[in-house]
Amino acid sequence: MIGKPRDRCRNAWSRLESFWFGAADARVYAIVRIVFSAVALANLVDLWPHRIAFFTEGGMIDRETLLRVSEGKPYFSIFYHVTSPAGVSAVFVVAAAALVCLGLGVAPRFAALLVLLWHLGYTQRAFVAIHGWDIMLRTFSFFLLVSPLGKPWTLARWLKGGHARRAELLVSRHGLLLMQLQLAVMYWHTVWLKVVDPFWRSGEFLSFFMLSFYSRFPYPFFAKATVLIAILTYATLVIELIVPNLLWCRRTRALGFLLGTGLHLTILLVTQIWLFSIIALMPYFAFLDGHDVDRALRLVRRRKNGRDHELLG
Amino acid sequence: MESHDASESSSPAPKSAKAGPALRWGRRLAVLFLLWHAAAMTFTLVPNESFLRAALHPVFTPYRELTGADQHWDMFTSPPNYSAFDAKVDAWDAAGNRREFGIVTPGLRPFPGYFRYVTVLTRMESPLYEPYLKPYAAKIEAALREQPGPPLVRFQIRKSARHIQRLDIVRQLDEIDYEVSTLHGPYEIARPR
Repeated sequence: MIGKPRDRCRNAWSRLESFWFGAADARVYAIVRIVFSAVALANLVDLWPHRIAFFTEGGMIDRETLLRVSEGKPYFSIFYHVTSPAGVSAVFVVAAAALVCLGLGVAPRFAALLVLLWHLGYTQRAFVAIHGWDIMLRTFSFFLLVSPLGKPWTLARWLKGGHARRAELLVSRHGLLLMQLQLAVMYWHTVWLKVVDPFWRSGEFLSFFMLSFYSRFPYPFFAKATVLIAILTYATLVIELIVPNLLWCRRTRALGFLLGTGLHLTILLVTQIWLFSIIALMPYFAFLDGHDVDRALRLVRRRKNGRDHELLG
Repeated sequence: MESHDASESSSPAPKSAKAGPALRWGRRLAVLFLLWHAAAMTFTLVPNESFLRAALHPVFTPYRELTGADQHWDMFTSPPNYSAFDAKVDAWDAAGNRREFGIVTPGLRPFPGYFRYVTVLTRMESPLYEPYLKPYAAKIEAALREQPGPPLVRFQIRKSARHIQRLDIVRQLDEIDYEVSTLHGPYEIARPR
C-alpha cells in the first residue's frame, strides 16, 4: 500500500522527463538556428545606421539615467561599459560575426552565448527604442543556448560531405518545447490585452492601423470599408488565438502555417515594419518535426530533378 | 542536405546505455529548471492588475530580467494615432532669430523617419520614460552651445505629428489626419562662465 503512491509519483516524474526529453529531429533545431541567425542579422543590419544615436555616450538615450532607473535590477549590457562610437561599432561587428557563426554552426554554443549577450545588451541599453520583435529575438537567443545545437546542416558537415548518422539526428526536444510555448505566450498575451480595447472590440482597429504611418497604403478607403475591416480585425484575433494549437497538432499544422504566414506576410506587404513579420514567423519552424522536414526535402528534390530533366530534354 | 527518417514522436532522446546517478540527478535538475523557465514565461499571461501578479512578481521578475525572458506583448493592443511624424529643434538667439536643427544626437542630425525614433520621442512623453527627457534636452543644449554664428539662448523640441481623425470624420471629409504639435521646452541655453 505504501509503495503505490511512490510508484505513481515515480511514473509521473518519468512521464515528465519523457515530455521534456523526448526525441526531436536535430534538423528542426538546425532550421530554427539558421532562420534565427538570418533574421537576427537582418535586425542588426537595420540597427547599424542608428548605433551612434542609441548606444553611445552622446546619443539620445542617456546612460547615467538608464543606470539610475535600473538600479538594483539584474541587468547586464556591454553598452554600459562600451560607450564610444568605435567601441559600439566593434560590438556590432562581433555580434554580427557571432550570428554568422551560429547560422553556420561554427562553435555554435559559444556563438549562442555571444548572441544572447548581444540581445540582452542592446535591449537593455536602448530599451526606450525597442519593440516586441527585439524581445522575441532575446528569448530565442536563450532557447538556442540551452538547446541541442546538433550536427546537421553546419558548415563543418557541408565541407565534410555525407549524411548525418541516425543517432546524430535524434536529440532532446526541450528547446523546441520552450520555443513553442514562447509563441503561444506571445499570441495569447496579445489577444488577452487586445480584447479589452474598444477599437479591437468594435472591429475598427485595422482602419487606424492602415491609416497610420506603419501602412504603405494610407487611403481613406480603409475607414470606409467598415464590414471588411471588422472581419479582418476579428480574423486577426482568431488567428492569433488558434495558431499555436493548430501548429501543435500534426493534422492541423499545415493550416496553422497557412493562417500564420498569411497573417504575417500580409503585414509584410502592407506595412513598413517588415522586421516584425519575418521575426514573428521564425518561431513557427520550431513546430516542425522530422516528417515535415523529410516532406519538404522530397519536394525540393523532386522540383530539382524536374528542372534537371527539363534542361536535359 | 541529409534526409533521414528520424521518427521522433514517441521515442526518447538517445542517452547513454547506463545512466549513472550523476546523470539521473542532472536530468532531474534539468526538468526542474525547464519547468521553472516555462512557468516564468507563462507568468506573462497573468494580468498586471491581478493580485496573483503582485504576489508572484518578486518570485519571477528578477529571473525574467536576468535571462531576458521579461516580456509584455502590448504592441498594437491599442490603435496607432499618427499617420506621419516629424521632429525638429527650434533655437533662438538673443535677437529673437529662429534657427532649426535636427533632433538626433550627437550632431543634431535630422529626424530620419525611422520608426524607432518615433518610439523614443513618443515614449519620452509618458511618465515611465520621462526621466530620459531632461538628459536628452541637456545633450541638445550642449550641441547648440557649440553651433557657429550668434550665440543661441533658448530652444524647444517640436514634434509635429499628423493625428488620425475620428473614422466618421475620415468617411465624411475624405481627410485622414490633422496637424498636432507637441512642444518640450523652452529650455534656456546656459553660457559657460
